[in-house]
Amino acid sequence: MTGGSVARRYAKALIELAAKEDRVDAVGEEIEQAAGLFESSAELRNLMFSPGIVKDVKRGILTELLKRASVGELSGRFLQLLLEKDRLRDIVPISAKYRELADELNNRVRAQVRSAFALSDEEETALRNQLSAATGKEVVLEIETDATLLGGLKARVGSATWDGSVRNHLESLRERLAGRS
Amino acid sequence: MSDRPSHRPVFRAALTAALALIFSPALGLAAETEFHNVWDSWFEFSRVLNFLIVLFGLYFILRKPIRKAMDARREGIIKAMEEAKEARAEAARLREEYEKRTADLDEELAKMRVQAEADREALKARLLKESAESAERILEHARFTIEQETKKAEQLIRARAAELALDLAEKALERELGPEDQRRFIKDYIAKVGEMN
Repeated sequence: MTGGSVARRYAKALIELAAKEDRVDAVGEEIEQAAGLFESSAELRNLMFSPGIVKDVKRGILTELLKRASVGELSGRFLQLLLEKDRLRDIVPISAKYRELADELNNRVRAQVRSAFALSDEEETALRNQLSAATGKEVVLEIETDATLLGGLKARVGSATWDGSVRNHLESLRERLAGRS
Repeated sequence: MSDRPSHRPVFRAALTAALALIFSPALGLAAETEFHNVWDSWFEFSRVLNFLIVLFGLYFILRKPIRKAMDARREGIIKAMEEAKEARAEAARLREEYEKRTADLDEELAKMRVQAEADREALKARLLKESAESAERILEHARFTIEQETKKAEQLIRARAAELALDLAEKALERELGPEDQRRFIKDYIAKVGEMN
């Protein structure tokens, strides 16, 4: 079974249970937090993913982590299940798949936005509203500041891209000037 | 009357000659015997008679073979003359044929010379035409190559000039764009984001 299909199977099962509790987004955030923890800590990965460490030790570490992170019951049980099934190393793709499924369930899309200058709250709200109007879905902005754009913004939602950066204007101008006969 | 020529004069002449030969010794002998008065006429007559009998016998025996030999000889001569005539005619015919052939050969040579000249002219014309076409093709290719290279060079120069101009523009923007400009860019972008492709 491939990693993608495993992640999808686990994520789908989890989101169905979370939907019953009406905690889809909350569970998603908890799983994402746990995935981030594993992703950021090589030491933790070595401990939890090593076949040389017995499962009881791993269970104790996970229980301690769950307490400290104040993870909900469903998310905690899910992480324990992954440990028992030796699928804890798939937590990152499972988290990503869960987020996709949650977005689909809530008619939501994520917009990767790169801006040459930090956006104010009003600007973020205005941008979200505009993108929602353009896509017909709720938009979650994932904003990143990128000075190489020189000015303006670039947003990508799924396969659609709206590039209004000064860099893009300059590149278009460069191509037009080079290609004009 | 037969066409065959008569041999009687020949025979007569032969007989006369024989008689003369026979009697000339007898007359000589008679002259001698005037001195001796000894001439046995009967003996001489019997000799002549014997001779004549032999002569006539020879005549009757040899007449036909001689005549046949003479006829054969005559026919041989006639045949030789006819053959000579035919040979002359053949020689004349051969000479005429040779002369005709010689005349035809001259004519053929003349025709060949004319054809060779025509072929030479045609070849010359074809080579000239092909050379001209080849030269035209080379020129056309050279023109096309020059045109393409010129276009490439122009594009290269234009691209380089654009690159330099845009590098300068980029540096100027980096230097000159302030927060107000950035806010204006953001505001413009948000206003138009749904319409952009």
